[in-house]
Amino acid sequence: MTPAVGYRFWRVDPDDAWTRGRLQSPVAETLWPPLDRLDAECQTRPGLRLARAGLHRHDEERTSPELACSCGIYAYHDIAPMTRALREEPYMFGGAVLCWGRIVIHPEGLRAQHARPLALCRPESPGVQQRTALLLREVTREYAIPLLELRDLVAYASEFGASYKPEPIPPSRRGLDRVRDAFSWRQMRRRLGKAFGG
Amino acid sequence: MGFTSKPVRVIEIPEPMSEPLLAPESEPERTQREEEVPATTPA
Repeated sequence: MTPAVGYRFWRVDPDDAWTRGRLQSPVAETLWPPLDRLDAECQTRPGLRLARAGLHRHDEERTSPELACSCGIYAYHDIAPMTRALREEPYMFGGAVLCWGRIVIHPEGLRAQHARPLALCRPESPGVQQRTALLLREVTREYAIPLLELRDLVAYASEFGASYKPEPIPPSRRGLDRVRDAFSWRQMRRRLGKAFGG
Repeated sequence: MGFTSKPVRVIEIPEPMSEPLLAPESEPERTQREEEVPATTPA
């Protein structure tokens, strides 16, 4: 099975003594190791909204990402959501990742067990390009990945893996699914249970 | 990052056997054999 390709963004803060110009996940604040893979883990730190209560956190047998949790290494199937996020914050950079292991697929992206960066893309704004040129050169050298134009990113990433974007469900099918869910055996049993005070 | 929709499926992908850091070059390198072929001289 071919590894999965996805697109995501990282924060790279040149002034942060802790991150020292490394790729950092903006939500979980995980630092991506240079020249190595990143392994997903369900984080349980208080206040972190990634891990939802009562799922698999206390079950060591389970692997991250868990289907019902929100843990895992995130990547979008397409570059469009990635580029939208890049316009919102300074020192946020986009790129492509290669993912494997356990993969939970959502309509808009995936959550992976293992991932490594494939390439970074050059910021679109000339001003940002100028301001971050040196930083991006250092980062791409440290991770041994290329710095590409946004238009070349998808073609480059496709050399390493494939997209696992699911086919969109047609609207008529969605309606049928809702009807089927409403009359499923479990739903009927729950309603009967409530009706009879069970 | 976060997804608002529910997951649709779970798959297992084995670790890539070799993980090249860069994409393969589009133009193949010349082989040693090609370089060693002597130029033919006119009779």
